[in-house]
Amino acid sequence: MPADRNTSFGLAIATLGLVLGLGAYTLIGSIPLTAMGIGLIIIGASWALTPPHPIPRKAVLDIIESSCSNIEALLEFVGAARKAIYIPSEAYGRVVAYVPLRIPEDGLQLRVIAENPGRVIVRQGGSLGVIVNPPRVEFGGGNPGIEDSENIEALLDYALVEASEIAESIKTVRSEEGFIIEIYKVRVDVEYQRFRIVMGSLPSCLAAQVVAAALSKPIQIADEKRIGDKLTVYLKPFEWTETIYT
Amino acid sequence: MDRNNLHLILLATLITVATSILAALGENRLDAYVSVFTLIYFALTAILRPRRRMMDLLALTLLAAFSYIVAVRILEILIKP
Repeated sequence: MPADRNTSFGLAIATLGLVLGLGAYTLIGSIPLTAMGIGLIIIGASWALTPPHPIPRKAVLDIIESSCSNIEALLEFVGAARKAIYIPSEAYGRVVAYVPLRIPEDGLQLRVIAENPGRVIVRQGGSLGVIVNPPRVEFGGGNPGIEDSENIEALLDYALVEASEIAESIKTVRSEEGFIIEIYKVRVDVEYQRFRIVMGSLPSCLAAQVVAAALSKPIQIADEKRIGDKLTVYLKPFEWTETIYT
Repeated sequence: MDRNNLHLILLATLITVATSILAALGENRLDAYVSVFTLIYFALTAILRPRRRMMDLLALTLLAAFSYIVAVRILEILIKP
């Protein structure tokens, strides 16, 4: 996990304190200066232990839960069962989740969905689907076009670990089919069944949005597996020209 | 102000002030400084309850140091003829 600002500053101050304390004690023999060094170590350690973007855990959990319960109710109402596709849409100004309800035999053009601003129900040809605003974390808008997994990992780390504190750490690997994201020690999740089937688990849902915004491509959560503390998410990117049949 | 930032600011201020006062009073026992720092840290932590990303190892270390200092002092008194 890359060191954040607080860890870097905190450790730098603690190191300075250690050098000052040891130097003052061994070279000068000054107790007040040694004490100042110890004081700096305490301040530095305290700074390093402070998370950079703290959130009130209980309040945020309540907000997330109520937000997801609304989505769950909507998905239940429309009888959604297919996996959502996370679509970065300039028209909407954010990543939205397209939940397909009916896909015609000749397939569904992904670009058409992104070009339907303001509509909850998207009907195109024989296709039918709903647009859902998934729970999201601001991570600076992304950088369309970045393909390598290190940059994606940095964005995911910011969104899932630093900004939302939803997980303890993440690891990203680029595979042939897309991205494999390993999320360790998930702290926040929702238990809504329909939400999980359609939108994925909460960390996967956020990860899919981050990757969709970063790549500027539609993303689908192909699969996710939970083994102990580790949640492995398989994300499948689509091309804009691609047509979905299933 | 965010209580985490307030905790850090007050901690830095109080440690600096305490060190200055103790140094001005001519205090030359390192354990006196460490004890005061420990009290300041625990008092601020109890009042402001800052968020921690993991277990507060600093608090454990300071508590251990404080316990050691107190134990040494008690032993000194008990062993003193």
